[in-house]
Amino acid sequence: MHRGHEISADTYSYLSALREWNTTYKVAFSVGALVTVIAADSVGVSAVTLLFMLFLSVGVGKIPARDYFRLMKIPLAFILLGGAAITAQFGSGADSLFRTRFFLTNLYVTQSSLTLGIHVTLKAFSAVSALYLMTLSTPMGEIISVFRKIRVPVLILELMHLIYRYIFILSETNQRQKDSAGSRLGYCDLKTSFRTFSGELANLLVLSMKKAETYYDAMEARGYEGNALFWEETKPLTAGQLLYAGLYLALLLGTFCLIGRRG
Amino acid sequence: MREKILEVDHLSFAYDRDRDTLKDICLAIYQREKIAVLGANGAGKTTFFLNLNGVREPTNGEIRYRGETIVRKNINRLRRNVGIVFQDADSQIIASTVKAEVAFGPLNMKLPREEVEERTLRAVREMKLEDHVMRPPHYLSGGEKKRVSIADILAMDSEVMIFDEPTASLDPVNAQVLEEVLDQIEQKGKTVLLSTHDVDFAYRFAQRVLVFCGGELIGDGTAEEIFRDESLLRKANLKKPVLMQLYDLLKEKGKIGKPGACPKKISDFAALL
Repeated sequence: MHRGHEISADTYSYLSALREWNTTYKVAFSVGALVTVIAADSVGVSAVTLLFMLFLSVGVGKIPARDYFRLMKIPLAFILLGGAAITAQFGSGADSLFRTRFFLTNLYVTQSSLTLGIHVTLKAFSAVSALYLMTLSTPMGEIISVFRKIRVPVLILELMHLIYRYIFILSETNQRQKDSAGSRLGYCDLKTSFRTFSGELANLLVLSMKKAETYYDAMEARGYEGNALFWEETKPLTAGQLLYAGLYLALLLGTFCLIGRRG
Repeated sequence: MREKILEVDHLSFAYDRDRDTLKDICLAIYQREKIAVLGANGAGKTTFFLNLNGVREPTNGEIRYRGETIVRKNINRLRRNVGIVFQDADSQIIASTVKAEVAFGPLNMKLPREEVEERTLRAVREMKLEDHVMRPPHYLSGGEKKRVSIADILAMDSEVMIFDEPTASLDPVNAQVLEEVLDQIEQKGKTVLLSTHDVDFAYRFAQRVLVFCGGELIGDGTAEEIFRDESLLRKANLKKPVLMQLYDLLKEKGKIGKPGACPKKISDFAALL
């Protein structure tokens, strides 16, 4: 069912132009960039990564820039709050850039705490953007296929597949429950809302258990024998795809050289 | 004589000990048959289908596939050759893209990769789902999901294809498309079994009709025979198809002179008048 109001990160993974990229390469690129950002621990590397990931996801992957920034806004709140907490200090506040009275103590910002704050914020952001490259271009089924390649137990993979599929069924069912409860004044005041909500959840549990049997039957009917096999697309790794990793590495090298010369 | 595919011999099945859901069912299913299974809700149609496919094991009696008695060891032969399209497509679809979903059955049959892909794409084409191959099933409409669930079974290329209430929850256009699909399947030499509450559809579609009531098979015959049996229809809570009622009415009024069987389609009816 189409639900226009609920365009989630999941949708983009099916629309992205990066979808045709070799899955393992894409995941390795994304995780590699993440590790680089954390290990390098430098503002330059973080900034380069952030911009490069923006370029890949929006420029190459053709995800609308507005939507990309909207998705980035979700972690933004957490990261900025965290950054602010690192930047601001309590105490007497000698040698501070900025100081204000705060109840019995002072709230102040020093040169080093400001640097650290910006540093951590940028690092967190570029780490998120590196993972977004993967999330926004790789459907769940393909991410699971990479897990299979690195020998994650089959049982876990199977559960991932089924949970992914049934999350949508569960939320659709709950949406229907909510609509029908709402239409019968189930959410008219706070007390009723609580009662309705608990009823919905209890019902959802019973429903899930009953349905689980049907689902199992349906799987068995198609020859499931305790080992779910899923189709995996083979996506060739092309020189064009490798070019981007090369470009990223070159940019990183450039950044390191600059840092080296300066420091 | 057509080839006998399945033989159901004194089949009984019970979910719990005090009540049999299926009681002593005996019948045979032949190649290229079009069978409609009628009966009220809870009459045992779905359970019967699950037994035919081997997902449920008979409590008593047995099922023979091409003369071979099905036991636990060779149950996969049955599952491979009898496919079920479940009533609710959502309870059947498990994979995260349409292609992976359709490929699930063939993969379980341990076919080589090329053949899995070929069968999958063929089924996808037959169900006109080409535009959705790489889309996840949760962004499809109800009719599209139904088509995916049919493609699932087409890809397995089973000899017998079972449809559990295929027209329920389909709009008229999609129901029409489904009927065309059923005709195509029949032309490929498959046996089709379907359950429905729509007697007009059953009459139009089926050569043979099975009637279930309270877990018993109370009627097994040609569509003409079953729908002429007033007491049977009453017992199973069924109605006579509109076309048949109309035919009888016209005949009574002397508008149809020539004797013959009641036509099954509106076009045949027009030709008769």
